[in-house]
Amino acid sequence: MLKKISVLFVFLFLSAGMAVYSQSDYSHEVNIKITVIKASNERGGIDPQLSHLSSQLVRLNYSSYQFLMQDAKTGVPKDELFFTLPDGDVLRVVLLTVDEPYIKLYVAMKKAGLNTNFKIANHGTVIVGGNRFKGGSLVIAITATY
Amino acid sequence: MAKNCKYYLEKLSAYLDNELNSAQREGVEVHLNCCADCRQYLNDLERIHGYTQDIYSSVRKNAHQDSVWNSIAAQLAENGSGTVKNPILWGRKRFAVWISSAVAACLILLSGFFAYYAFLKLNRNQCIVTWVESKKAPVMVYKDKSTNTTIIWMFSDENSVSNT
Repeated sequence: MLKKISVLFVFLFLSAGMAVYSQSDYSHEVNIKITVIKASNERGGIDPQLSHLSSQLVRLNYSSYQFLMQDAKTGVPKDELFFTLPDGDVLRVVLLTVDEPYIKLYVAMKKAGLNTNFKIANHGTVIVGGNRFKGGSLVIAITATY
Repeated sequence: MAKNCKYYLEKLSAYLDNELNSAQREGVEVHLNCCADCRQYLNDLERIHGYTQDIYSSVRKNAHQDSVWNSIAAQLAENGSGTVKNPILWGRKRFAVWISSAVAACLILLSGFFAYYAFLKLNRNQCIVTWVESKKAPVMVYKDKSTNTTIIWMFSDENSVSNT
């Protein structure tokens, strides 16, 4: 009886292992979504389209957050994704690896002269900003999902 | 009816059931040969006895208990002891053990998955910046603990610095 129960447990354990392994498959597609915001000290508050980011944006201490654009692209590790920003700069995102629960990314903005390498949790958001744009600052929220 | 008929009438039922010894049986039979009333009474008794036998046998035919008891008796005879192993009940017990083991295993598995996804949820907004380089302006990496958000901020002018 004990033998049978042990076999059952081993089978279930292996199944769980297989499920977890399949989740960390490198062939998973990664979705990168960017939300571009103009942060300024004008009147206006937070744009309703940015409600999902409001708790993170208020930490920047601006009085107005205006939604400018949103774009999303999908790729697999080693792919390069390009997003054109409202100030004419190009945001280059290289999907390096998926290492559960993290996605490793290389992000560069040529005009702004920024290069950075970071790993972000699945569904996580990182905020990149500071570039001057029309009397305010350009803020980019990058969300990665696989 | 003769005086001693009362005595024999009481014995007739036992006579029919073969519960009398040979001397008593002989006495009853002698009396029956010479007493028409007692013979009539015996006939009535035999008829009633026949009816009850018929009813009893039909009830036994329809009852499943008979076969159950027969199988129990057979098992007792086979084992030679008072222990009866009911194969159906034994099978049910084993099935119940299997089911409870499977349920327990599933619960453990599910709790593992829940713990795993809870861990993922906790780490939802975590970001680890390996390196950052800014060619045009000072840059700061700030992690807001309350929202678990990482901010990479380029200080393009004095105004930006005062805000952050």
